[in-house]
Amino acid sequence: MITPLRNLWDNFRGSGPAALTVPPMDGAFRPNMAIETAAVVAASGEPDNIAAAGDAVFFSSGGQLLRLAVGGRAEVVETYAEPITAMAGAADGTLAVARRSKGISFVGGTRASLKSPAVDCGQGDVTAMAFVAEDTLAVVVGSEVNSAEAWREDLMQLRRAGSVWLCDLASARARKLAGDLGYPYGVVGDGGGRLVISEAWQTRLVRIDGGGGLNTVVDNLPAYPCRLAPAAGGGYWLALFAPRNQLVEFVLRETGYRERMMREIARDYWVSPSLTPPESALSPMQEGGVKIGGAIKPWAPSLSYGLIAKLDRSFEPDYSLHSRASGRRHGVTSVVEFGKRLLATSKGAGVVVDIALQ
Amino acid sequence: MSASSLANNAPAKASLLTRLRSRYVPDHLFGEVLAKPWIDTSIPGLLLILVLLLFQVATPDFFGAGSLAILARVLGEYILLAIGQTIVVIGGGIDLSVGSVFGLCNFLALALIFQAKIHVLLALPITLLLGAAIGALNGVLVGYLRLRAFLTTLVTLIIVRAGVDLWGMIASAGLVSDTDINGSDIFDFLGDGSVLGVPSSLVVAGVVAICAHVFLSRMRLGWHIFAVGGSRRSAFNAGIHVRRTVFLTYVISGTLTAFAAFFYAARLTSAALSSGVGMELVVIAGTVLGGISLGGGRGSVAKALLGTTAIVCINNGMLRMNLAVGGSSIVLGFILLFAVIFDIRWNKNRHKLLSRSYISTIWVQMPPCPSIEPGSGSPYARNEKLRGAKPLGIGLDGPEDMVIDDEGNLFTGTRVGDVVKFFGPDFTRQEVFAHTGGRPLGLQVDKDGSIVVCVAGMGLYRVTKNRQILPLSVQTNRSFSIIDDSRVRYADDLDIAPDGKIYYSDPTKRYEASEWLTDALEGRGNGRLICYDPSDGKSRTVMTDLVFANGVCVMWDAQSVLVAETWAARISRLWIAGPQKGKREVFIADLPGYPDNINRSSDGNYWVALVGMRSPAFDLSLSMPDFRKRMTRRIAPDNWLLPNMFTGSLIKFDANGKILDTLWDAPDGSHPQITSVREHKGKLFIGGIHNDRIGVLDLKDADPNWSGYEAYWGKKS
Repeated sequence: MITPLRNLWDNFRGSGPAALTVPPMDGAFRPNMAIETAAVVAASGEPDNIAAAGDAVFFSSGGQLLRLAVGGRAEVVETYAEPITAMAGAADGTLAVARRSKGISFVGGTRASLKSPAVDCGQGDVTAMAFVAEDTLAVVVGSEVNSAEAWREDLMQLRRAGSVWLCDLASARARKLAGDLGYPYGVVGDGGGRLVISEAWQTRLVRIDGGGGLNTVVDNLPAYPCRLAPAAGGGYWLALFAPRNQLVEFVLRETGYRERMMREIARDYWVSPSLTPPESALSPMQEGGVKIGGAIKPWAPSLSYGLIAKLDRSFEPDYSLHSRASGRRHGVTSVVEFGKRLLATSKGAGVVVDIALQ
Repeated sequence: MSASSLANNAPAKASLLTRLRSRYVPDHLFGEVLAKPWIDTSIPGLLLILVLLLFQVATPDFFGAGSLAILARVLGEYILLAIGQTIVVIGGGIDLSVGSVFGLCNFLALALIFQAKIHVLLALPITLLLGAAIGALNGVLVGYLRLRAFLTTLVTLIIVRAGVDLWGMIASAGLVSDTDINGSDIFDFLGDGSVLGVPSSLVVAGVVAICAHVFLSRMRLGWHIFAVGGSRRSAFNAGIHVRRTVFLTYVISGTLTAFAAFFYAARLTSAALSSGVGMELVVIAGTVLGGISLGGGRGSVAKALLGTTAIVCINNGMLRMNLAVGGSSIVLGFILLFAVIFDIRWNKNRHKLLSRSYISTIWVQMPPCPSIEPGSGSPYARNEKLRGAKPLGIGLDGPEDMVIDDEGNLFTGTRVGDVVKFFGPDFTRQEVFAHTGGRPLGLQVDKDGSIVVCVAGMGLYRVTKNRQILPLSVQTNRSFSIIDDSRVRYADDLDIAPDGKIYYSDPTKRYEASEWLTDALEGRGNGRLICYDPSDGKSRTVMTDLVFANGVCVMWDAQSVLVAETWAARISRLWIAGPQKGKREVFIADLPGYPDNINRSSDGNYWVALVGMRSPAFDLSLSMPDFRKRMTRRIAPDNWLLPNMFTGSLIKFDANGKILDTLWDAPDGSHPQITSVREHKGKLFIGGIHNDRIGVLDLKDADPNWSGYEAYWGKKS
């Protein structure tokens, strides 16, 4: 009784969940240009996943699996016909690779012959994986309705169709922990036997226990969270692939416009978050994005952004690395800490960067 | 992939209701009325009408001849008091002693006329002097000694009332007697006479009100009073005698109070001790009800009149309704409370209401957008032909338009109001040629070599070779609209016809130059084309209902003028000579972007700059006016969806509207919003309103000796 009344009041006043405000990039999210000015390690295609398995770092670009050699060169390990949608590396050198409609396969290490766990993705794809124990793999499926490359549709359709699975590698059995999630896009074990996943459309990190109970860990992120990776010395790294934007929040609440837009306009020109900065003359533009002196202002409202957050042991954001609206290295989807280096993939700019850590 | 399939689906989608509403419901009027300066005064006006209607219903015969006559006479006295109070309140003070001064002056008037047997015409100035003296006392205490107005005038109220009581007790019943008085016919006229049916006190009050209005709005002391009330410290810093001004406001108030008391004495000839008791409450209530801020600095005589009339009518009405003792005071108190609360809320939130309701979007049906994809065979296909443009004048602040004069020097306008001159033929040296003060936009060279410039915010101006800045056209004929569009507030581009007439565009009359992007969201035809005739100096609007009238170009045959309608993505034509003179038509209906300035090219054709490109997301929102309206209300202006202005381009077309060539800037180029292109001696000069340079592109096939000046005026003799 109370909730529908409160919803009505909130919709009328534009407060609470109906508010169109976006958390500012301040505090731990104070902007800088660390990603934009970082060294480029590899530049090819659309680097999406990056993971460390044993003593090597692998990254994916479309259907290609590449390894980063010590000298900085990337060598192609394998080329698949289907795009690689998620990867996870174990300490013993095993790399789990999820491909569209081909399940999860294992590359390298001593366990390359493991069977693919029976994760039911529906029409969708696995978006992230993580080894939580020697024999246990946590798998998240972003959406059971839309494929990984149709994430914009999933957001615009306001779907909550994602699920979290725990797989036992020995028996290749998969147990569904939770469903109806808003595009889970990252997973990591919290060191206490539970999983923390990033729920992109709800812009929060959620802890899931063995029984499927959900607990919000971090809320009100200023961007859509993506893949998680543990950091050396405790803490975690979180990649955020696109910023929240007042105009997008508004369009998400405007059913008429949204449906016509999805029907009549090509996906690249939607008013929706994007992995690449706008280049086309057909992209939507916001008033703050007007170029002055030939350049976009760094603080301009933008549909794309490059953002990595460092979280402490209790998943509170500590500091962050940015590529602002005037930069090009947007759409950071994956990050891994290897040795003393922080490697991140910028899918928007097609580069893998190496950010120097303090 | 297809750029936009919107082209094929658009027409049937918008509901009939939306289209009818956009066409016939004039909801832009609400915002325009709210922006008017007289909106503040209309509120007490409406309140007065409401009060009159209420009492007409509640008490029978409220507007009967008898009651109206008494009401009018009482009103005359109250209006005099209210004008005095208004002047004091506008000056930042308050005068609570008016009631007591009223009583004292009443006694003095009666004493002078009945006991001292002084002629009425002499007794009046003496009474006024007493009122002025007490006002001067107030003024010295509040103005010169800087005591608090409220407490000081309260003390004066008590002391003067004590004086009235004393005098009343001493003089007792002997003040008024039946003896003859000097000037009794004048006295009777003041008390009971009328002019053309209007009571004398009301006539005098009306005259005083007009004088007070002229005094406050047009005379120096009146402006000083506003300044002192608005900000005492700033007024002091500006050199105004603050103390003397405050002193004078109290003197004026005292004098007008004495004047009102004289009328009262003539009307009632009553030496009652209670004369004037409680009047200050009524007068202050009337002032506040009229919307005059008690903090000072704002107000007008009209507001005071409306508020006082309302209060007096309420008082009178309550008397007739036979309320219990004290009942009318209670009602007055509540009305005062309500008036103060509403006044504060209105002053704080009026601009918010205005900003929420001013932008008035309508349904716009854009024609199908031509393809810009390379390889599509479209004349507008993308390329990077402007990549080779060399920079000129890096660091310029927004060169929107350029022109080269008869001596080969280049002139351009910048955002800070300068007209900058680049010395030819290499344009390496530059200087500020003239500072216009507005935002110079379109430029053209006249026959004598002077530069005619459209200055946004000011109008059409001429900058002579001696750097003199002369206004040519700042006003045009007013159209039937709420907004006063006789003043040209935003001039964009111009061109000069062979007979010397200058045609220039006023893009939008609803917005200022700094809000030009907001006009894109409306989609209304707010722009017009104005013709200035130098032979008689008059300006006339020759074309209206243009959607952001921007570039203007007189065609080569001088029979017609082309006007770019930016947000409608089309170019229109107005015939200025020949058999079709006066007719208007669409010249190019479906550009893929937003045209800005149009200029002639060396081969008998025309260049037009496109400041931005049509994007499917924005075109879709144009057919959904409620979406745009909600967007402007719910999210910050920085985040509004606008036409895409990431990449600029130029188009060359011929006299029939056929597209001959399109030149694009690269996505990472330096010319994102091209607003103007000018050809000169085989080079193309490219300017943009937010760019930091002028681009110079060599044209391989263009005439290397062609100049715009000679094309318009022939070779210099």
